[in-house]
Amino acid sequence: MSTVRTPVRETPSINLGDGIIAFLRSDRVTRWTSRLVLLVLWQAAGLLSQRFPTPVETVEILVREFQTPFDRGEWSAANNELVQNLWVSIQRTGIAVFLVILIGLPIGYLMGRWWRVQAYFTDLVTVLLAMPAYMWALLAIMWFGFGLRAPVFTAVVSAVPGLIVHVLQGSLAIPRDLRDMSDAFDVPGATRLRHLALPSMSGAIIAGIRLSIIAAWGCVVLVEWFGSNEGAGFRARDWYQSAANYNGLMAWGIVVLAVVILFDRGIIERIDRAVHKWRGAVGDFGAAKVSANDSIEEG
Amino acid sequence: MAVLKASKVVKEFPPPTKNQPTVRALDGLDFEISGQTFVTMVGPSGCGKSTFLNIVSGVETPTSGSISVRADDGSPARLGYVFQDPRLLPWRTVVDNLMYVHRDKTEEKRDQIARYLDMVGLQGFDQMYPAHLSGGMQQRVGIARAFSVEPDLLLMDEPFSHLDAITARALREELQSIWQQTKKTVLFVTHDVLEAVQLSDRIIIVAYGGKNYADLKIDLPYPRLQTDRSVASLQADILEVFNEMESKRQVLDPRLAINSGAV
Repeated sequence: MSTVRTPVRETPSINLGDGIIAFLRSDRVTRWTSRLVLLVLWQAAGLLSQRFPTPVETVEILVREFQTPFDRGEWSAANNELVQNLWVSIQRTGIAVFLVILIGLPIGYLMGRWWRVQAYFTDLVTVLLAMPAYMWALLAIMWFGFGLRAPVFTAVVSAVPGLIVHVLQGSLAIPRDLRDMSDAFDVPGATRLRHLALPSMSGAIIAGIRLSIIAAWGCVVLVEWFGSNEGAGFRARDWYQSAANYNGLMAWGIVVLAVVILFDRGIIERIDRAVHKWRGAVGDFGAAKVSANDSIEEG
Repeated sequence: MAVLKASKVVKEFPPPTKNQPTVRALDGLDFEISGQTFVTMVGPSGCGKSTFLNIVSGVETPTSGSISVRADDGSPARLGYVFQDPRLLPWRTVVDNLMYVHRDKTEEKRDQIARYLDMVGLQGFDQMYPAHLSGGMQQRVGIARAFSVEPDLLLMDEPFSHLDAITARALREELQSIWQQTKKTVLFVTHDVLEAVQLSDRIIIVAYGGKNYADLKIDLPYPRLQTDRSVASLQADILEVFNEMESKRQVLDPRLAINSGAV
């Protein structure tokens, strides 16, 4: 009787050179290299053109904005041009996004559940999707003037259709077999909404909210540019028009971008991971511990 | 326990395309079941067995005829349903999947439910997500869920057809044992004659087109194994009934005889 020998693979030894190569090939180094190259190109472009601010000039303006008291008041870490104008824009966007969710979520869900609701809203949503945000911005300033209402209105009408389309797709994708199972066990509507519909649509909802926040933020800044006496958009225009200062325009542009990226990475991605933890590694398994990718076979 | 009365049940589905006729899945199905009984509907694929269960559970409505399901005391019966696939919420743990079908969300209910997980051999798995369980274990969760509602009538739609042979055999034996303990009224659907003989005390044979064909009493002692001589012998007899049904169908529809090369 012959014996089959399983070949034993030897564990490769890791030396310092291999470690450095592995580090250089890592995802993190690739990301940071890309950012560094972008920064260098930006600096080079600024040095070559008088109308293109360099990163250094941009940061200088931001420091100056932080050091300037807001509205001729007394300076503090919270009361300066940078923080106060940013806070005004964030508040406006927050109100707008709240309204977008309040309107878009139920309409999108109901469109997916009842064909009559879908038939009623389809044309309206298509028209709103096709309408450029700057048209709403100009109309809103004409209708509402300076203040809170114009930026919030523009952000809501521009962002709602996108959220509706996302939620509609999520609503249509609620698994039929799970709905039939709920029918068979006579599960109440509120329980279905909470435990079946919302988790099933969560991916589409989060993606829709993510895009809504970006759209709403852009709209608020746009309206502030045209018709407001405070906010990030107003301050960017103020530097550009009153002082003909490209550095100020670029500085506020960077702030606007940074807010979106920080919010997206810092909050939305965390929520996404928390909501969808069941897809990957899952917390405490009690008596039976398994790794995320393992499944337990029949005993 | 429950009393199920099906009277001349007809179910038609709209045609898939405009120029085709309507699809008749059930054509006057008529029978009654009651008491501590395990009834299996056996028939070829497409004869309307699953459609019938969907009508009983309220997922579908009949085109004509009627079905009534009552508990022994005459009140509307509580139903449990085990599907072909487990149909679990992937974002809920095992215990939360069971809780989903209960209106009572109290801690006491959670404790009660744990008993049904023990019954199907899933002690210690209550906090796991379905993705971390094998197909057989997921189907056990489906069985525990159906029993946990303490149904008057338990509907089972080919619950082992998607499992490998070894797991399916183990679960069939467990199901017999659970049924012996609970003695619920069970309506089981399968196209596997051997499975039907092993599990049931009555077999209703449904013909193509969703018509009654035969109603057989299985008088063998439990527990039964598929390898038992009596089970295998009865399976052979029932397969003869199926052969007879097939030959009658070919006589009625000569196109089928030509297509199957039986002429």
